Parts: sequence; C-alpha cells; structure tokens
Amino acid sequence: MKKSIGKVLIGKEESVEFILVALLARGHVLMEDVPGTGKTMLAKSIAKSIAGSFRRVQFTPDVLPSDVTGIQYLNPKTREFETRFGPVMTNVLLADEINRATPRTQSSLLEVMEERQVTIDVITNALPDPFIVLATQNPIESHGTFPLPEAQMDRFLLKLNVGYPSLQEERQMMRAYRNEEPIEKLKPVFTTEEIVFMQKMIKEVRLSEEIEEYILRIILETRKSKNIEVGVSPRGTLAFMRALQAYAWLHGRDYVIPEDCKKLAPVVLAHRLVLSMEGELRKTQLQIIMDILDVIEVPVESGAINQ
Amino acid sequence: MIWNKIMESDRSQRILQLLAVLLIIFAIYGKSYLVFWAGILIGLSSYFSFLYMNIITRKLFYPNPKEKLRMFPGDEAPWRLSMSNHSRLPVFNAKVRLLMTNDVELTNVKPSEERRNANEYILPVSYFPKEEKSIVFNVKGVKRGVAKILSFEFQISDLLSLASVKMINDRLVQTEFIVYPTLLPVSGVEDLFKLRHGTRPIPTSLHEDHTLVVGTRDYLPGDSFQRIHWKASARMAEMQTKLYEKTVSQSWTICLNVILNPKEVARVGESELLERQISYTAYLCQYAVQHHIPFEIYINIKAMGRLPYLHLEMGEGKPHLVKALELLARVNINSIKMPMFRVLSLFNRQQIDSTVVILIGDDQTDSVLYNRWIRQGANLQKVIIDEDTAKLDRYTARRSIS
Repeated sequence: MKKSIGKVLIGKEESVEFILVALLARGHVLMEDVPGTGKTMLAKSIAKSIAGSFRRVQFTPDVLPSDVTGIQYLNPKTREFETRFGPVMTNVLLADEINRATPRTQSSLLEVMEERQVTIDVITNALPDPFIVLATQNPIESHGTFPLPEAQMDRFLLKLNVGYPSLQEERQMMRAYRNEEPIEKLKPVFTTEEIVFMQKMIKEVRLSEEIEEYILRIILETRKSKNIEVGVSPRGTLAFMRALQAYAWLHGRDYVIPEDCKKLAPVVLAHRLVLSMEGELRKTQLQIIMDILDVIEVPVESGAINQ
Repeated sequence: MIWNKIMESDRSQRILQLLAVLLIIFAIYGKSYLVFWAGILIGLSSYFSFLYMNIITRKLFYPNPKEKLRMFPGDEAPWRLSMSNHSRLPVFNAKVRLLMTNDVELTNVKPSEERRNANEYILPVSYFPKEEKSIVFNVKGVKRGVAKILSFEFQISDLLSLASVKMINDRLVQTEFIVYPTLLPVSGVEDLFKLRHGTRPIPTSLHEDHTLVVGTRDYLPGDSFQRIHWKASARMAEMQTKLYEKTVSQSWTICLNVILNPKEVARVGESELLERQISYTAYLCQYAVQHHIPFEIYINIKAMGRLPYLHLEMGEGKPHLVKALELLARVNINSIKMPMFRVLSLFNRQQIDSTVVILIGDDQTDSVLYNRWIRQGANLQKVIIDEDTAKLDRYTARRSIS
C-alpha cells in the first residue's frame, strides 16, 4: 500500500504509514498543514487503496449536523418516515477543512467518530467496519474558521503534519505528473474484510512490563508538567497502546519496542495536551512531548522483549 | 544545507604529495626500497586524507529546520542542533563554531570570544558512521529581542590531522530564539470595563446573544412572541420561554508609540524607556488574554505589508498572546519609525469597534481625533509612566493629554 501510494504522493511514506496505523488501530486522523501539501490527495489515495466505500464532506459554515449524520423524512409516496443517512455511513470519510464547520457540526461528527454509530431521531445505526475519518485543516486561515475544541482533540488518534517534500522528492513529483495523473491508476490493495481481520490481529501484539511502565511514565509526566494544564487522558493511554501495537505489527513484530514509543508519541500524544498559559508562551505541544521523551529513561532492550 | 568548503591545510597536503613524488624518484635512482615504500606511504596518506575529506564534506547533513525557541529573560530552554553523518566513515576531531547574537547565551558552553553584539562558541564533536546526533545546548534568554545564529561553521580534520576543511553554511540558520519582554504591571487596568452588545458571556449583562439558547423557563405574561420555545412547549405541554446567553462585547486597541519623548529619554534613558513601554504593553496583552478580551496592537514602525505600520489584528486566546509577545520581541530601537499621528489617522479612517483604546508612549496627537473616538463610544486611556510604576489615566473629551 505504501508503494502504491508512493507513486501518487512522493515522499509521504511516513504519513501513509501513520495513516495505516490509525486504520489498524481503529482510530481517526487529523492532517494539518499549509495549503497544497497533499493532505486531500493523501486522503483520497488511502480511500482508493481500500476496496470500500468513500465519501467526502467539504465543510463550510453552513453545513448542518444533519448534513453529516443524516435525516428522517416523510416519504409522500409511502406516507412513512424514512431515514436518509449522511456521508458518515461509509468506510473512509474525508472531512475536508473541518475547522470551517460550526462547532455544532464538528461536534456531531466527533461524536460519530467516537461511538461508531449514528443516531437519527430515535433510530441508532452502527457504522460500517472499518470506519476511518481523515480530516484536514489549514492552520494559517483564521477568518471564518472555528478551531476544534481542545478538549475534543483526543477523538483523533493521530495528528499529522504532512510537510513539504524535499528537493529530490519534488523533482520526482514533477516528473511523475508531467504526462499523467497517477491517482487514476491507483488500484485497491486491501478489501474491507482483510482490514477488519488485521484490526483483530494487532491485538495479539505484546507489550512487556517494561514497555508498559515506559508508556505510563510518559503519560504521567504529561499530567505533572508545569507547562501542561490538561495532560493525556486514559482514553489517550489506550489509544497510544493500540497505535503502538499497530505500528509494531506493521513492522513484522509481535512485540513493542521503545523506539516505537518514541516514534509515535509526537503524533499520538502531542495534540491531546492542553498547555498552560506559561507553557503555551514558551513551547509548542510537540516540543513539550520531545522534552518529556528526553527526560524519561528508556527501558533496556532485553527487558523490552521478554514475555 | 549547502556548505561552502574552505580547505585550511591545502598547502601541507601539496607539500606531502611533492615529498612523496621526490622520495619515489630518489628511491628509483638510488635503488632504495625503504625510501620507495616511505614515499608510497606518504603518498597514500595524502591521497586517503584528500579522499576522506572529500567524502565526509559531502555526506554531513544539517537539515536547518525552521524552529522558534521562545522564552522570557532569565529562562533557560534546551536547543537541539541535529546533524547527521551519512557516510560510512567516522568524523573525529571536528568542531562546531556558532556566532550568536547576544540576546541569548549558551550556559553549557563557554564563549570563546565575546563581541559587542554577538558571542562565539566552539564545541568539539564527533560522529560515528551513519550516525544522527543532536548536540543539546542550554539557551538562556538575556534581553528582549530575537536572537539569531549569524554564522554556523563545521571544521573537520582528517584522522592524521594532515588537513582540515572549514564548512560554512551559505544560508541563514532558520532557528530563532525569541526573548519576550518582561511583563511590568500597569495599575488601574482592572477598572477598564464598558458594556456593549457582543459575544462575551457575562451573567450580569443587559445584552443577549440570540443565537445561543441556554435553556427555557415557564412563560410569563409580557414575554415576546419571538421568545417562545415552540418545540419545548410542545414537549412539556405548557408554554416555555427561551433563555439566551447574556453577553457583552469588550475589545482593546493598544497603540504603542516607539518615538520617545526627549524629556523622558533624558530622565530614564532611551533603551530603558522603550523597554518599559514594551513591557507595559506586554502586560496589558497578557491581562486581556487572561480575561478573554480580544485585542489588537498598533506600533508606529514602518512595515511593508498591506498597512504601512506594524499591526497585530484583533484576536484572543493564548495563541494570540504568543503572536503579540513575539511582535513586541521584534520591536527594535533602530527600526524605521513613523509619526504616531499618521498611524492614528489611518486607524481613524476605520470604524472603531474597540470599547477601549490604550495609548502607550509619548502623545502628540490632535485631541480632535480623540474626541471623535470618545463620541463613537470608545473609552480612551493613556499609560502614565512614573518613576518605577505605570498607571492608566482616562482621557476625557475636550481636554488634551499633557
């Protein structure tokens, strides 16, 4: 899948890997970067690589919660109430420019993401499996946007900064797009059943006591730091664990190593932190997580793989 | 990063090469094996030294990330200088040389040279093959400003110290060290309060936001028809009236004049006076954010953007405070200034939305302008700076500020 998407998005292998982690860990991804860095293209490529359904919502301030979740309406022919589901009833949902939606609409989507079910009037329906939301937002636009509530950011398993390609990657990209559109050639790599099977498989990945201790010490440090007002929640701890299992599984291991924690902590934990006034003035969420990772002692390798 | 390479021991390399050739020629004529192999050895050493330098200088990589380290004066923060050696050869006897402006200092490295505006630091480093390593520096904020790395050099010697190369980066290091101004309190700021229809929730406000329904209560005779909550009334089978969030609008416009009053300069000193004015501005910004008050800043320093002066647009919250303090950190005494009345005249052309306008610094503006703002409903305040303190003084109409 990485190779396949690599033909469309050159130099985004790491981002693709992280999205796969989210897909296997049953999480959702928020991609944030300046316009034109390939956020939407990346989401579309992921959707095309999975043989499942794909929907897209372009958020604007006039999108209502019912436009996302669905409505119940009276069918004049049958004279019965019928439910029309919104775009959330899909396997891959691209929520483009999520920060342009009003807080009520954002909230309706965030609830669906967490509960994996949609309630329209009194009828509750489960969403298809797998279900992943790939949301994008543009950090430089401030007019006409509604920043996602800090407290609800932990509904996203990962927050990614897609970033600019290097000089060499951008040259490759120019050459790849000179005569054709590589996304049109993208074929599905996995079926939805295979992904559901893989989601079950990652639960077999082991975490040794030392790794558990290491994870917990990182989490506890986020709650104690003077720069942080609200640290990582227990939901964040579980999300981190599941992401680590998925990452280890993707790398062909049935155990987690400390390097996995170091790799994933910035993308899984940083956006869950609510910084204090003091902290916000001095550091970014990412800098604080990096500082914590520097401070916490890394368990030795022999301990990391015993079980 | 693209390096400019300067071979420092190029001459000794050539002497060695020449010596090797001479020894080999002498050995052939003199039929001496010992001299021949000595010549070969010297020649090979020189060649491998050249090869080593050539490979290493091409394979050392500094990503030059765009990063900002923010701190208050006296704060210390770690700064990681990451470099990677992509070659299969180790790097020994290398030195990193940094020339940093003295708004900050490194506390874990002693400066090798202290200049008027910058300090030079030299640090020995080594890299194993294919190693990526970060050197951690402790950076301490010394004075308000934006510190930069003026020069970043990497000096490598070969294993036998036969030759050395100085690698100088030809682009500016993108890391910035932002030292915020110290926050100095301004008394009287607590009294700034003026109610107007807006969005800030205040339970005692007379104004309501009709888009925010916070609940319902039983209908009372006299409640308007539009306030009836029909859906709730239907559910509860009795008439219900909507309750709205009670809100006010409160925003500040802070105008900082960096053209200093000559009398005050003579009394306090130019640099000290400017720093105090900036510190009072910073405090007002922090106070506004703590009390959820949106604010904007005007500074009479020439800018090349849409507006001909420095302006921070209206905003609120912690990220806005970071922007404000960063802007204040960038105010430089040597910047090109413009008369404050020109800034205020341009500001005057817009509709004044702020309920409070705060003037900091020398005031030479026509009072007609101020009277007009007051008529538009603004509360005009001036920061009066005494010996060690500052307080807000309200400007009343038809009286010029002395």
